[in-house]
Amino acid sequence: MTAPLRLSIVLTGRNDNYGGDFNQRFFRALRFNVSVLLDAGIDFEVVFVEWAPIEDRERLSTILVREFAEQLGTRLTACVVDGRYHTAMNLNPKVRYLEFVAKNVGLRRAAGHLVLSTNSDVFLSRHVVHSLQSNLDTDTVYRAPRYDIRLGVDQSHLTWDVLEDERNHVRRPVLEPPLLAGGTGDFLLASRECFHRLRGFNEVYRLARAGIDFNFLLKAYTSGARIVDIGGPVYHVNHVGSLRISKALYDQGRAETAWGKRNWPSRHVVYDNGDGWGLSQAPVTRVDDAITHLDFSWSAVPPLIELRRLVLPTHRLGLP
Amino acid sequence: MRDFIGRLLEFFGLATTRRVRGLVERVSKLEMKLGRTGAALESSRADAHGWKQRAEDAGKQLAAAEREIRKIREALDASKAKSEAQAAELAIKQARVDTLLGQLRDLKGKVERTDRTARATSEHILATEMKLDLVEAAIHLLDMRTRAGTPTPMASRPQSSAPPEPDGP
Repeated sequence: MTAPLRLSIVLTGRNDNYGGDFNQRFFRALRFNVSVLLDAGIDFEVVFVEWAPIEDRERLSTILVREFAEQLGTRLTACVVDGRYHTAMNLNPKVRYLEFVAKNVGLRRAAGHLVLSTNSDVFLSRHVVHSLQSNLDTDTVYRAPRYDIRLGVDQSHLTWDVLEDERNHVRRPVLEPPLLAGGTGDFLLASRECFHRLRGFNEVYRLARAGIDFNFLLKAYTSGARIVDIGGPVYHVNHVGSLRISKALYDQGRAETAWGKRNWPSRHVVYDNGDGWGLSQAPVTRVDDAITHLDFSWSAVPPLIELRRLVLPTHRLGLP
Repeated sequence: MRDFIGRLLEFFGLATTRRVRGLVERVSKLEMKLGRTGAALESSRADAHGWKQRAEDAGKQLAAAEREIRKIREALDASKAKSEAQAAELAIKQARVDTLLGQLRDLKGKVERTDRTARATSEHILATEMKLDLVEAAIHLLDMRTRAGTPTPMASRPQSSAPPEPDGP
């Protein structure tokens, strides 16, 4: 009997040049992370979700499988989600990418004992890799602060020494309890059971993209999960178009940017995703050994709105 | 023989030289002693006078101290009476403070309950606002889809200006 897979890394993206040469940034970070995980002897898989790919462009999943055939082999699973799901589910025309619904697709299908939901341009630190080898609690959501690497740094030979050099850091935040929020979407590690119990990210309020990750922490905490700092950072190389740099584009309360409505009560109201979260009912077509396609079916699409699934969190001591 | 001579002289009221000298010496000593005694007596008299004076002074001081003590006792009694009055007043005020503290505790409890209610209400309002956001967005989306799916209706034909045809043959 083979041992269960240790770790699933859930990522999402598409071939849309997001933030300027998305593919290059993605592949660079992925090569780094795959390399350090292999060196550490950690058994892992990469679950990549390509949400609503751009027509007339090569699928990023295809490019990914090609680029990482040697390094990843069968560790890579790519899932292409039919663009009609975006059209059917999106409630805000300004939001062009339902990032967290895409991540839910990956979370729902991840096979690892531990699942890491992260972003495509995040580099794992030494401490994180070491922690992944240790016994982690199954009912705990682990967080890591995101250290931003300054814009323009030479990324051609990134190593831990370069990433750890404080001179390259723009910010080194400290996560504050109890929710340890801040760059949340860049590092959320929990057991598969924990993610399934919480049913992933908010799929009910599909008006916003920003704040969904914070809302997950609120959901986790008020549902009884512990939220713990894993003790080391992850690194993110700043780029044009990232939320932190683009905050000035926000007009408070108006859903007029690609991040959707910003000023929504993500700190006060949580959600209860339906049974079909993560498009679990979507019919699947296998494209090749590594790539599957989620075909469109209305039966997999949650209702346009389900007001009863917006709920107030149970109060716990320590919450502001 | 000496004793016979001494007695014979005594008969004639005389005494030997030795005896006289002895007596004189003795008298001298007695006079000296008397002098000393007299001086001592004088000294004692002086001392006694001093002591008497001191006793009189002490008596006066004692009387003054007794008067002072009386005054202090009177002041103490007055002070005691005043303290008792103040204690009574303090007790009244303490009772009032206790009443006010009780009212403050009640008020604090009401404020806390109101605050909890306000927070819960605020959260409900936020949740309702979110739901309204969703409803508004859904309506907008459906409106867009409807417009996209509904063909543009044709413009209506203008009415004729000719008089209507009469009924019947």
